[in-house]
Amino acid sequence: MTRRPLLLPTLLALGYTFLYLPIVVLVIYSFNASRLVTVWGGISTKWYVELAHDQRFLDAGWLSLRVAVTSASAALVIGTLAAVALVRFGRFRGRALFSALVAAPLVMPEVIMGLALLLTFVALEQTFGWPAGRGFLTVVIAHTTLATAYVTVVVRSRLAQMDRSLEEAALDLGARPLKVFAVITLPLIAPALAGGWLLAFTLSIDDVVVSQFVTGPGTTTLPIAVFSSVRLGVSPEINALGTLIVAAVAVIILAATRLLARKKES
Amino acid sequence: MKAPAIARNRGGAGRGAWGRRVVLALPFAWLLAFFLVPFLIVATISLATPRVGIPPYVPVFDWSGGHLWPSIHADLSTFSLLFQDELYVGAYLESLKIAGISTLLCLLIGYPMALGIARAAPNRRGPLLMLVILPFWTSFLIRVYAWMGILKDEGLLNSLLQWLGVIHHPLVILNTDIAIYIGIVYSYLPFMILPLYATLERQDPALLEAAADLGARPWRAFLSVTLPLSLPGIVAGTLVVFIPAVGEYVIPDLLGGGETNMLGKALWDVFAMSRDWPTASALAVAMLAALVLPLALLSRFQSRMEPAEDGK
Amino acid sequence: MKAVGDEVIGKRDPAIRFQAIRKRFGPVDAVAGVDLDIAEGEFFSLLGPSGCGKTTLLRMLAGLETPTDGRILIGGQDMTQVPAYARPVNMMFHSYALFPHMSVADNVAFGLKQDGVPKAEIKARVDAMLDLVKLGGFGGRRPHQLSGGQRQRVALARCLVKQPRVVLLDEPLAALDKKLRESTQFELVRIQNQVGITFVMVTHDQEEAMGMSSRIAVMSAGRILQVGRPHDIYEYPADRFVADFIGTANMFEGVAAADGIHVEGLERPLEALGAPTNGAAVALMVRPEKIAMGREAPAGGSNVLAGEVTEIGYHGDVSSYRVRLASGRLVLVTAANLRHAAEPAVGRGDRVYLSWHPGNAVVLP
Repeated sequence: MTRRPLLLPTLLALGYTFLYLPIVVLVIYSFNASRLVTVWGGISTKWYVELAHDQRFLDAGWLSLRVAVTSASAALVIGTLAAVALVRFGRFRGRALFSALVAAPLVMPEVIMGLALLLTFVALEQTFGWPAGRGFLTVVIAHTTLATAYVTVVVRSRLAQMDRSLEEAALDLGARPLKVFAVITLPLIAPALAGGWLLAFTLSIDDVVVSQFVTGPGTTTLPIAVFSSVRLGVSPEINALGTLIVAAVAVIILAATRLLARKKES
Repeated sequence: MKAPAIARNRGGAGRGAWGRRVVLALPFAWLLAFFLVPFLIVATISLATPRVGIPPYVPVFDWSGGHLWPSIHADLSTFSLLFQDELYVGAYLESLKIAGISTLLCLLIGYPMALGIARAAPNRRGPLLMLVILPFWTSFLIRVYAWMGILKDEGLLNSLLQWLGVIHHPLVILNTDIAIYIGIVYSYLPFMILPLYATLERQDPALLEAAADLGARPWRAFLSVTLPLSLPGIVAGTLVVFIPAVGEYVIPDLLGGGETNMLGKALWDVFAMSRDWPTASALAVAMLAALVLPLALLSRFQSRMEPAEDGK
Repeated sequence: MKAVGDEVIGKRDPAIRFQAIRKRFGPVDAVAGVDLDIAEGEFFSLLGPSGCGKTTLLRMLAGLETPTDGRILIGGQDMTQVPAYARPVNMMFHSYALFPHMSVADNVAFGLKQDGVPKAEIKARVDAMLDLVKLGGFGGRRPHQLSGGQRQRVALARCLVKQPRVVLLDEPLAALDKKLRESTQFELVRIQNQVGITFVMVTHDQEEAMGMSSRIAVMSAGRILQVGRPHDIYEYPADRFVADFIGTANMFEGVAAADGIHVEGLERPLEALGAPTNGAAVALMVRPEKIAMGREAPAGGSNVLAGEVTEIGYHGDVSSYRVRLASGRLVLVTAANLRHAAEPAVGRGDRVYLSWHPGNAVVLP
């Protein structure tokens, strides 16, 4: 019994090193004045300056932000409705199909999703003339479909944990069903809604594969821009961009943790 | 007295059912339109004949004849070509091999980590788990890109090893299968750890104490108690990693170089470079065929976990 | 059909009337035809083992389930199809169901807000109600900052504040520990007397039901087996299930004849009051505390059985004895331990004589 307690923490530490090493390297090299990975040319922020003046990345970033906010919000609505149906409606006709459809995008290889969606958009355009061409709208629809599944998983588990009698008590005290949803259910699942939205936002702003299929000329999202630049080789600007993303995520997570901790205290 | 009661009955039940229908209709319609129908379209186009034009295939259902029924131009030649072309057969096998090995590695690395987190003090589990999930929130693409800098011939790893004197000539890792394994394991590790942790954390510690009390040494207790009880987590984690790994495209493209031939990459190349949509669709169908079994397993698995939430 | 409970209610409209209520869940009838009247101001209990349909009946009264068949009248009005939010009925949930994101005062005020009561009045009524349940000054707290007993009282205040016609209690004491449960029993009855509202309680605990209720309905497998005052149900159970479920019963199964009830293995027939004489198969039920036990045979008693003490259970206030008769039958006897530090009158292995007055036994079909 004396050996195990040491073995597991060691493996755990190695695992975390593996997970975080590339991120640490990325951050350090974003401040490297030299273009070469192996050469340390001193501390510099010149890659950040270069990034800030690179119109290509700025445009792509702005587009990605708009796509992510739109699709995450749409996915939040659709995913929450799907979760409510799955948790609250018991057995209904088509439940097996519905349940499978909701879960499938979680594991479906992205190339298949991307190709299938593109062919659908093309077919739709041919038949109905909508959506005209590919761009913002088609990327948003594709990302919403992808993210809905994740939102459903998050909201569904929270709803399932929720004590049903809370809603029944509100009903019993005279609140109509819609009111019950608004004043009891929504506030109680709010953390899951926030988590689901953030997850959907992250998926959208990070997606390369599906976007590449369904996007059109002139609609270059940030990951597509990064991908095409990275394929050409290592570029220090990307290090700077990655560091900014890591910093943003760290700030959001820290703020969320603080907020949750403070809520628990009060 | 009786009649109004019945009328009210209908009104009440009708209203409730209508609200439910709306709640269900939006997600159902969305998923049908943008998830199920797209797969049917892929399946259809995989039977079409390629041509140069817009769209780059001959429609399978031709309604131009003005009849009630379309004339059908189904064509299995794309599939027969797939099976004859060594490139595609190779990509198929290579994808399964790479996904399989990566999944196994993920399990070997993920299991001790999940166990370590589950056995940590309760107040530490949350933060430890958070640390596993955290990288997932930062850009996947950029994290894969960071590995390029580490694994290159003149990259960080080689410089470190040479500086330590372990090697004298740089190891070629980037643009090999090894780099792909590293990339996939790195990217999918959290998805393996989460379901494993979920089953391990739920295990009653008294079970191990009982095993020890009955004379089992720690390893024996692990093999005969912990491991079998965590089987649901192993199955779930394995499937969740294996299925998307088969179709992985970014990692082989960035870390495997042009040489590596995986299905996802082949599909994109056929689609974007050759603009051969029927062949791309046929590749997607072939990939799905390989994944039907794991997908069915996974959905059976999920529906078995489900009754807990619908109870009553 | 004559509804059970007519003799108590008389000519007034009952507060609650169930008419041929049935509820089907899939293939099973959770409630299989219930007719029941509950009078204004009663503290009424639905008592039965888990799965007997008592909770389903309560939820149908609240409007949280819709009956498959039958009608529910509250204050003479048909409420069968009225949704939960429109019924003059409030429920205290098993889990209390306090809204965790609202303060105690907001929880209590919730129902009044739904009715559009003016703000000033809400505040006055909430304060008065919190005082009634002895939680004055706790209005600003969150539910998770309260003890189990305090939460229970908030839940009660929340359903009383709307002054409903009926308050429903779903296992109100189950989540409390034993000591608190006893004091809360009295507290609930006190409050019910004070507000004068009809209470309907669901419980599986017979002591709870007996100690608090004006009347009890004993349920099993979706049906009501007996309705009556606690005393009636204990002393005059309607059938063997009720006799067995409420308290402990010694059951002597036999055949009724003119000279008494002939039980296999007993030398003489047992004497009983009001027993049929037609040869019907019946059971004679005697409660353990109604049996007298002594080393000497009582003179001239009619129901006297000889046996040997095989086990003694000491409970402090009383002791229970298992006595084996010559036929091998076991009879359970309880006797109060009246004297402090006295040696028990009877020890294990002693030969004893059991006897009871025929009026203390009940003949069950």
